[in-house]
Amino acid sequence: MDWQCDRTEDLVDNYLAGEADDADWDFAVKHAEECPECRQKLDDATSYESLMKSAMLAMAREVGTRPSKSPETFLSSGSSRRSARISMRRRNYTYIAIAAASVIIILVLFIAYGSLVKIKKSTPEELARLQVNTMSKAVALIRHPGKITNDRQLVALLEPKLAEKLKQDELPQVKEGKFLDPWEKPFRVMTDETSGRVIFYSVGPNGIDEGCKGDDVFPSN
Amino acid sequence: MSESDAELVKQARKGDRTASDRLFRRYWKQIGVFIYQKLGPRGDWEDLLQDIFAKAYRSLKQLRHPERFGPWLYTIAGSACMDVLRAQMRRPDGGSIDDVSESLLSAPADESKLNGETLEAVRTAIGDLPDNYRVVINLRFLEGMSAKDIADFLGEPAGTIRNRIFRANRMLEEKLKEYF
Ligand SMILES: [Zn+2]
Repeated sequence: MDWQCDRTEDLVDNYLAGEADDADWDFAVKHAEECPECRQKLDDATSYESLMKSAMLAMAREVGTRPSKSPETFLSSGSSRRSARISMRRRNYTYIAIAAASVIIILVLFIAYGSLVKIKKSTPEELARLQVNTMSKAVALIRHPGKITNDRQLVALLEPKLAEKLKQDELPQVKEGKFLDPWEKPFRVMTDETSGRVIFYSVGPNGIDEGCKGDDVFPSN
Repeated sequence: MSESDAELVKQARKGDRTASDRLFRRYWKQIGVFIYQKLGPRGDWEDLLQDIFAKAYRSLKQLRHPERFGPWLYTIAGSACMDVLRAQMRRPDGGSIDDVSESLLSAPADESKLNGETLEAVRTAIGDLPDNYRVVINLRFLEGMSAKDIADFLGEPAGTIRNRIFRANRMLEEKLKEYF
């Protein structure tokens, strides 16, 4: 253990406290190239971090990230659920009339809107495009010392970043440690030769990897 | 810019329903995760959270420092968990099998993002930490706050919080070694 190892160990602590210094980080990554012990420590720290982040996300999903009804409905005095019911009964008919009127207005607007614009979900191609764009951008933001050696590691690192950018129903499925495209085929990874960037692409509806040609869906820029 | 907790608390005390509404939406997710870690899988999160928030709302007048609304809410949630656990222990059959099976049934089949065993391991490891450690770990990894942000939020010295994070991380890394 020399001073370089000490400095790296401090960096790891600070990193996990959300306070890593860029200069220290660069120093540690450089030092880790020649010190296997410190490389292990950096690897462990980033893996631990992504485990914690994805576990937190999973817990939030489990509980639900927002109330299904407005807090106003249960924040009345007395025991929450019972008193909500009582105060409902007390509401006079004006409220009922207003509610009925708004339901009708909303219904009319909804029908009018529906006839003007076809309400449709995005097509699998559009979804795949959105996913490869987001994944390819997110992978560039990963700060991970050393090489990412397997899919599971990659998924664990990317998932928290994707969850920030995509809505729940836009997130790619994960199966056996791989991201799946809308046709349930794993996304492919390649390095774009001109930019040197790592990109994700989907093999498209025909399920055949055509190397970003044919019906393959690749990032738009 | 969003309003501070303190401003929203002051408005909520005057009876402004949108203020209380926003305040509780702001904390729904983190308090949900906080009680999940302590109580484990079950199916009645919404009811539990509603009770916690209704209780907080009723005692809002007793909150001396509106700027400490967050930490105060965590203590209310912590004692609500203890009440639930105590009630469960008093039950003759000793458990809440109904709750568990309900939550298993309602869980989507493809919840494979993080496998169930790993999630449960992390949950128990965090759930076993003392509440004040758990709060900092959640603020760090769920809310993405730095040690300094957390210290400001809790009104404690940054050094104390930093040490608490270091120690909590070490305990968790030790327990979860085989999962990362
Ligand atoms: Zn070293």
